[in-house]
Amino acid sequence: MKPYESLLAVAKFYLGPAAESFLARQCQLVLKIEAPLIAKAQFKDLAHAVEVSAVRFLDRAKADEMAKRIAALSIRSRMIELRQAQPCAWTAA
Amino acid sequence: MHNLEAQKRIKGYLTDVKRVGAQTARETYLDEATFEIHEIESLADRAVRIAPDAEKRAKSRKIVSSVGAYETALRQAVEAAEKGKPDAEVSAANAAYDASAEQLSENAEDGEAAGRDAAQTSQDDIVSTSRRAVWLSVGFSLLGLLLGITMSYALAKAILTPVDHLREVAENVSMGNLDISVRRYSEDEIGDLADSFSRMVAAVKYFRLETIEAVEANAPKNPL
Repeated sequence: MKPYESLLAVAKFYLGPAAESFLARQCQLVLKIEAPLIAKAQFKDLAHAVEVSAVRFLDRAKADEMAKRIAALSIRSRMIELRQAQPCAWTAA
Repeated sequence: MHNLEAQKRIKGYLTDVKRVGAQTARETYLDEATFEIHEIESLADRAVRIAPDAEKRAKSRKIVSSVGAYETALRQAVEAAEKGKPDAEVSAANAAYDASAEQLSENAEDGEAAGRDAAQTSQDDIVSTSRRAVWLSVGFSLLGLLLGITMSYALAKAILTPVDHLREVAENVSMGNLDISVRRYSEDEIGDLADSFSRMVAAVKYFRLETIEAVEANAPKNPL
C-alpha cells in the first residue's frame, strides 16, 4: 500500500468524502507538495498540522485521535523498514 | 381400626367353632380365622414400617407379637375342642385363648390410637409442606417477574439512549447546527451508525468552511 493510500484510509474514517480535499490542502500548505507524493517520513509533520487544523470541523478528542493515528503510521512504517533491513534471529531462522 | 375389627371377627368365629362342634365347620372357621390373623399381621408389619417415631413403632410391634400369641392360643383351643380332650384341658385352652384375645384387643386399641396420631401428623406434614410449596412457587414467580422487568428496562434503556442521542444530533444538523459532537455509546451497529453520522457531520462542516473561504477569496474588495 502506498503511503498516501494508508493516509487517506485514516482520514476517510474521520472525514468521509472531505478527506481527499483536506489532505490535499494540508499537504500543499504545510509540506508544499502534492498529496499523492507524500513520503512516510513526512507523516509526523503532517500529523502536527492535522492536530491544529482539524479542530475547526472535528471535536478536540477526534482531531487528536486522527493526528495520533497518522503519526503512528509513520512509526509503523519505520518499524517495517527496520525489520526488513535487519531481521531478528527468530524471524531469520 | 381394621386390626380391631378383624380381631373381633376372629373372636366371633371361635365362638361359632365352640358352639357348632362339627368337624367341617370348625375347619372352615379356623381357615377363615387364620386368613384374618395373617391380614392383621401384614397390616401391623406395614404400620411398623411407616411409623413416624419409635413409640408408635413399638406399639405396632406389640400388635405383631400379640397376633402370633393369639394365633397359637386359637389353634390350641380349636385342637382341644376337636380331639375331645378332657374338660379341664379345653377350659385351660379356652382361658389361654381369652387372655391372648384380650391382650390383642388392648394392643390393637393402642395401635389404633397411635395410628390415628400418625395419620394426623402425616396430614399436618402434608398441609404444611403444600403450604410451603405454594409460597415458594409464588416467591419464585415474583422474583422471576421482577428480574424480567428489570432486565427489560435495562435492555430498553441500553438501546434507546444511543438512538435518542442520534435523533437529537440529526435534529440539530437539520436545523443547521453543525457544532455538535456525536458520541459513540456502544461497540455495536448503533456505535457504527454514530461513527458514520459523525463522519457525515465533519464532511458537511468542512465543505461549508471551504465554500465560505472560497467565496471570501473571490469576493470583490470594498472600494471604501
